[in-house]
Amino acid sequence: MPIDVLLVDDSSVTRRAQRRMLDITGIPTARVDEASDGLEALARMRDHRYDVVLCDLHMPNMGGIAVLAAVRSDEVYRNPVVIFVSSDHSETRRQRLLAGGAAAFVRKPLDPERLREVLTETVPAVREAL
Amino acid sequence: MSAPDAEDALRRTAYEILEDGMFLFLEEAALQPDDEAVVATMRVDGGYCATVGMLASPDVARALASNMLGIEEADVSAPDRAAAVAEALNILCGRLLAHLVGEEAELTLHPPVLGGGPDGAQVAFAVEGGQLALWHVPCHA
Repeated sequence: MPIDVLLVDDSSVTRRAQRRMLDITGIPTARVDEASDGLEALARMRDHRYDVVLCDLHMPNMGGIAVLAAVRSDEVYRNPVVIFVSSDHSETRRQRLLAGGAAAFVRKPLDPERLREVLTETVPAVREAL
Repeated sequence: MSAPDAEDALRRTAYEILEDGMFLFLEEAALQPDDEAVVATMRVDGGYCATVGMLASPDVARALASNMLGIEEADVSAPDRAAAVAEALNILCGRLLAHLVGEEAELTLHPPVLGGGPDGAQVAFAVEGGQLALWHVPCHA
């Protein structure tokens, strides 16, 4: 079954690049939506159940840490797999986010091969779809 | 952090991200005045405080956007160029900080903003028929 994906990043270039990379991975998608900050992401998650959220860490208005905390504490967000994609290299923060319920933390720049790998590892619906 | 150390970190970061990761071939060169260049800066704070910046001439900004978006250079718009330089700076900044302060510190990387100008420790390159520069200014400078 095709998956539904939410791309969360304040960079329009990054969102477009990730959308293109998803196409290249060959992973079937039914719906790919975008949000430019955490607040918009949470609003979208309240309205729709996504299989996976690719989320930046540092964003205006609401960053990725607050998004993860909200998603893991309130079922209204429908419990998607959350994967961080960030330029942040802090190993301490990476470990804390993984302990807090993130499925993976991938450093930018992302490439299609790495994206396919991490989605296959972390999203049950992807394994079922392939 | 001495200026030569910062310049070495900038240089290393540029080669790792731009040459190895984005296939832009760099040759160190003196920075030339360029009124048409796209310039972005971003602030870092937390356990370490600095401003990091990037300048890219229009051709380089176009090549960056084409590379990131997977589109022909002819199809790259002016907003695409600006957004690509800002995002490239964001990626470079993360790697630069790992070189400068290691991977243990939890820093806040503020979103890049357009504008600013070269300052502090800097490196410049000839690339893609244009030029690209990176700089780093610690807060206490």
